[in-house]
Amino acid sequence: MKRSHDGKSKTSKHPTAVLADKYYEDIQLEKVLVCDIKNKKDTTTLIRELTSEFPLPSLQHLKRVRKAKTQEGSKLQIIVCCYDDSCRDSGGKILSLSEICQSRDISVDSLGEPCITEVPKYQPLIRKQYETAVLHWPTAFHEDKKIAKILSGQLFSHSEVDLIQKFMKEAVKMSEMGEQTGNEKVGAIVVDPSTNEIIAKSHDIRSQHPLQHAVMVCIDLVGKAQGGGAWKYDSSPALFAISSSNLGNETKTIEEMKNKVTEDKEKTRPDEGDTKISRSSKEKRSQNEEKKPVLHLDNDIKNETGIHNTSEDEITRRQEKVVTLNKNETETKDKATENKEKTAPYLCTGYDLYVTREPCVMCAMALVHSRISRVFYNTASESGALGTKYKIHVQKGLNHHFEVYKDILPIDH
Amino acid sequence: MSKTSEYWMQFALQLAEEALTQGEVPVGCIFVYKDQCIATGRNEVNETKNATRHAELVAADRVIAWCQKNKKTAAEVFENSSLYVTVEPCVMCAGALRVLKVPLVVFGCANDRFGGCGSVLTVCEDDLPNFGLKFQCITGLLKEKAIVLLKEFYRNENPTAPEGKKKIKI
Repeated sequence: MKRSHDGKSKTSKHPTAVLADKYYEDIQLEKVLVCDIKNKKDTTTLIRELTSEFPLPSLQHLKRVRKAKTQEGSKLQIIVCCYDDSCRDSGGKILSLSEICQSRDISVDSLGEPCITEVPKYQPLIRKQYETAVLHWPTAFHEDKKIAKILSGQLFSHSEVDLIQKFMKEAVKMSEMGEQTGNEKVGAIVVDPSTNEIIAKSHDIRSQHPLQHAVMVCIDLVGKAQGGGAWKYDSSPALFAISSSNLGNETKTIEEMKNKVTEDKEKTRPDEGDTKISRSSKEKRSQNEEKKPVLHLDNDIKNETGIHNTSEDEITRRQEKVVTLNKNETETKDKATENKEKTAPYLCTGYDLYVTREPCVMCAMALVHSRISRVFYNTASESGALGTKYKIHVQKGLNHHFEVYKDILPIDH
Repeated sequence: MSKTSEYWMQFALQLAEEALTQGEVPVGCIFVYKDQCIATGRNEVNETKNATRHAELVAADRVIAWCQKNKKTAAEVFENSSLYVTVEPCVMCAGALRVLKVPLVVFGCANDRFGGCGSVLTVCEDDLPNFGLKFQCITGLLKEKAIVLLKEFYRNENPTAPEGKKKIKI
């Protein structure tokens, strides 16, 4: 019995989505003045008059009229206007209806006494908010089917969850290499979900460089896979990128790629300590060509990890052809694949990142700049920027948003 | 005699100009340590196909290289340096500057789209446990010149943007 319970919890654990705060908030209310409609046959006229004289631009989601239950049966009530200073006298008392409506073209005689009522300020985004909102006043609600699935933990099928967990386990392996090499225990991998191909793998190497967090390294490795990249990794076997510009099945370790990259990039490394501003002349660049890599990974550490077979593992994986994520989005994906055939990959567009712990604000924003598609992380971190301290992936004002899922693997015992 | 802030910012602006001639977003910066420029940087995003290669991060790499060459501890150098950058550091770079514990950042114009020092977020001063140090910002120095360069850049579209993402000119 214990075994079956364990087995179940491991396969059925659905990732938790990290949505914008607005999906988790209680509904907000706003005060309006409401009157009973004395005679139901005047309803249409009243709606027309009030819509014209007291339009409610911020409350367009609300129905103007509601049916309220009474002891005798039911009655109709209508929103007259927002409850603000213009509805009160200097002592704060509600004005009479005729005072509020003044010379406006409203059939005041068809309305009862005004009373203050609280109504939902915004259109509800999720069913739970809707259910609370309608207790106050009838409102429009268009359920976002994807959000609904996410909230009910049904977005990913069992096989998709298995695949997500499998990729996360790869990231965990990388994190262990990070720890073994005297760095923080963080690992990351970038995956192309249209092919389930791993584009790059990395772990934290901040003992070499304070900004070389696993995510920053992984982003740079994707750049390398596309023929760019900025950092030189002194042949750590734990880090590698697949050349996605090369459509063959060739997998290159950093060691293999280094020569090419060195040739291409040597010119971009000016001599450190040179305080001259202009570096554009070819002469200066040629002077700098002898410059050594900035970073050195300890050879002893490198040998200890003994992970030269990483790239072979990858080739095997890619031949396996596992389930593709997000079957429900095949249409979008087909388009994406189509585009990819036409154009070269652009940064991390269309790619997923798996990282063992929640990225910091630097790494999170680096993922925005890189146009990542989705991020999966295992555990939250104290100053994390994808849910804990910030929600960079849904931050208002930024030009790219992405999906974030956490709690991927069951906690180890 | 120590050099003025304007002197260093002029220096950073020249780097921004260089970025512009290379088709990069025109942002330039320099790290000043003990009244000496120890590293410079300008945007290298398109060149490296790495969207994180902002001027600040490029320059940070060179500070580390300078430290290795001059037998200094990078941590000590960053903690006693000032950064002069033509545009407000973005959210990512502000995070990086916290990690590096750079105490003072002088910048020219604000960065309304990505700024992490007041425009979009205030990463420079937020309470983030175990995430580097908060830093002081001095803003507005020679900002008009920085803006002129940015306007020049955005008049032309980003040449590396994929099809469909490019702005359609009417």
